[in-house]
Amino acid sequence: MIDNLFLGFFQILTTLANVLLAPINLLIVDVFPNLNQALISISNLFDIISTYIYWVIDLFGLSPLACQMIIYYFTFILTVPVTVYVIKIAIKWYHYLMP
Amino acid sequence: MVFLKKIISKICVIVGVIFCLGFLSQFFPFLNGFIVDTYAQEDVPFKVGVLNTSGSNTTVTGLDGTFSNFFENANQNSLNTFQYYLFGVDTSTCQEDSCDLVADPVRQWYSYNDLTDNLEFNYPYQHSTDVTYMGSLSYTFTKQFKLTNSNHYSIMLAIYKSSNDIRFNTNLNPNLTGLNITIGQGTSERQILSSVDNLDVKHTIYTDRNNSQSHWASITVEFDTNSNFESLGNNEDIYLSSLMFDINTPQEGWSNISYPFNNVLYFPSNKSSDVYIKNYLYVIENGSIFYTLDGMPFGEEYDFTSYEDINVINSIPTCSDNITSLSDIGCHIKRVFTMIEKFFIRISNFFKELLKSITQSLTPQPHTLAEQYFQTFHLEDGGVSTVISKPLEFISDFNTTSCQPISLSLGSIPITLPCMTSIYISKFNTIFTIYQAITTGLICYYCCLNMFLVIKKLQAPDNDKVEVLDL
Repeated sequence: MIDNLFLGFFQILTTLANVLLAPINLLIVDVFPNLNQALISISNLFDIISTYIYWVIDLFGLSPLACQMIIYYFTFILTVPVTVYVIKIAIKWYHYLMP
Repeated sequence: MVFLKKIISKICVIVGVIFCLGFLSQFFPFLNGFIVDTYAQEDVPFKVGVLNTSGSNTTVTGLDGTFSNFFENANQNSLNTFQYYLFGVDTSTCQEDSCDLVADPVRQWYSYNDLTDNLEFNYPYQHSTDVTYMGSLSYTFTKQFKLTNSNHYSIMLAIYKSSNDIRFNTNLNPNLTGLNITIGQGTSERQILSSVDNLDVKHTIYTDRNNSQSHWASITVEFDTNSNFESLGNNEDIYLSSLMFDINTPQEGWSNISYPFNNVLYFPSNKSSDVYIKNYLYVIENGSIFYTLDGMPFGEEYDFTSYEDINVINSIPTCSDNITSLSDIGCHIKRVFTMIEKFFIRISNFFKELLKSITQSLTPQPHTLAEQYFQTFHLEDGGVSTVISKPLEFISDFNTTSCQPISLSLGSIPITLPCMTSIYISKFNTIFTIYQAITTGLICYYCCLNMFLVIKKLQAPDNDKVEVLDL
C-alpha cells in the first residue's frame, strides 16, 4: 500500500513537472540557445559518468551492500522530504478550507 | 609500584564483578532466559527421532542412547493420535551413550501434510513382488532458499514410513551427486552449480542403529558458503533448488542383489494406501534459524523465545553452590563467561531478526526500490528538464548495471582495463574482505547519519531560510 501511494504520488509529480517545465524549456530552447547547449552538456556529463562509474566503483572495490546503501540514501532524500512536505501542505490547506 | 597497585586493583574489580554476576545468575533465572543457545558454525548438535503415538504404546525410534527426561517433560495429553513428532536431542549433553532428551516444542512436527510430490525416488531393482531397492532420490524444493555469504547451512531430509519395511543400514554410504544452486527464480532461473565441488559439503546419514527394521531414516547435508559466495550470482540472488543422491545400489542386475541387503534402503514397491512415506525437510541457516523448506510451520504453538530460553538454561554449565575449591571458582567463572557470550549472541540474533523483519515487511524487494519509484519519471528532453531527469535516471540505472571492462587506445596501442573486483578477490582475498567491511561500514554510517539529519530537518518543513553553508 505504501509503495502504491508513493508510486501514485510520483506519477502526479512527474506530470506536474512536465506541465510546469514545458513553457520554461520552450523559452530556453528558443530564446537562449547557448543556455540550452550548456544544459545539454550537463546531460552529456551524466552520460559519461554513467559509462565509467561502474568501473570506478569496481576499482574501489565497494561492496554491493555499500552501493545499495548509497541508492537507498539518494532514494530516501529524493522521495521522503518531498512527500512529507506535500502532505503537510495538504493538511495546512485542509485547515484553511475547513470552517 | 603505583602502577602495579593499579593493575592489581583493576584485576580485583574484574574478579569481583564476575563473582557478582555469577551469584546474581543464581538468584535471577530470567537472566538466563535472555541468553540464547546457538549452533552457529558447529556440527548440528542434535539428532532427530520420531515419537509415534498412534498405537497403544508410545514408542521412540531413530535415536541412540537413553532418553530419561523425555517422557517426564512431554505433555502426553497434548499428543493426538496418529501424530508423529520429530524431536531433537542436544548431543552436547550426552555422556557416553546416554543423552538427555528435552521435550522440544520447536521440533515437534505435525505429519498432516504429505510432501512426497516433490520427492522423486528411482527404483532400478526389484527383488520380489513386494520389495524394491531405491537407487537414487532427488528433491526439488518448492520454496527456494536464498543463500548468502559466510553462512552455514544444514539441510535434513527425513523419510518416514508408517510400516516396518524401511531399512537404512549404517553401512550405507550414499553419494551426493547434485546440489543444485541457481541464480534467479522462476523463468529467469539458471543453474550455476550442478556439482558439490565448489562448496565444502559433507553429508551424513542417521538411522536407528539398533533396529534392523527402522521406521525412519535421514540424510543431512551441510555446507558452508564463503565470504564471496554471492559474487557468483553477478548481482542476482542465489538460491538452493534441489538435492540429488545416488544410493549405493547393485550395478549389475539380479546376480548382485544377494549382498546389498545390508547396504541399501528398501521399502515395498506396492504403494497402496497403507504404505505411506512422509518426508520432512528443513534448513538450519547458520545453525540457529530454522526453516521448513515447504513453508510448513513447526506447529501452531511455535514459540521461538521459550525454546531459546529453555535451551539456554540447559546449555549453561551447572556449578556447585558450595565453593570449596579452585575448580568450583573456575566453574562459576566459566559459567559467567558462557552467559555473557550467549547474551551477546542473543542480542546479535535479535537485531538480525528485527532487521530482517523490517526489511521484509516494508520493502519486500528493496533492490528494486529506486527503479520502482523512478521508472515512471520521464521528463521531456531539453531545457531544465534534462538537468532534473538525468540524476534520477542515473540512480534508477545504478542498481541494474554492472561493471564492464573499459577499452581505450593509447596511440596505436589498445588498452583494456578489466574489472578489478575479481582480481582483488583472487589476489588479496582476506585483505579485500577487510577493506570492504571497513568501507561498507563507513558508507553505511555516513548514509544513516545523513538520513537522520534529513528526518530532523523535516520537523520544520516550512523553514524557508537559506543556509549559506549549505550553498
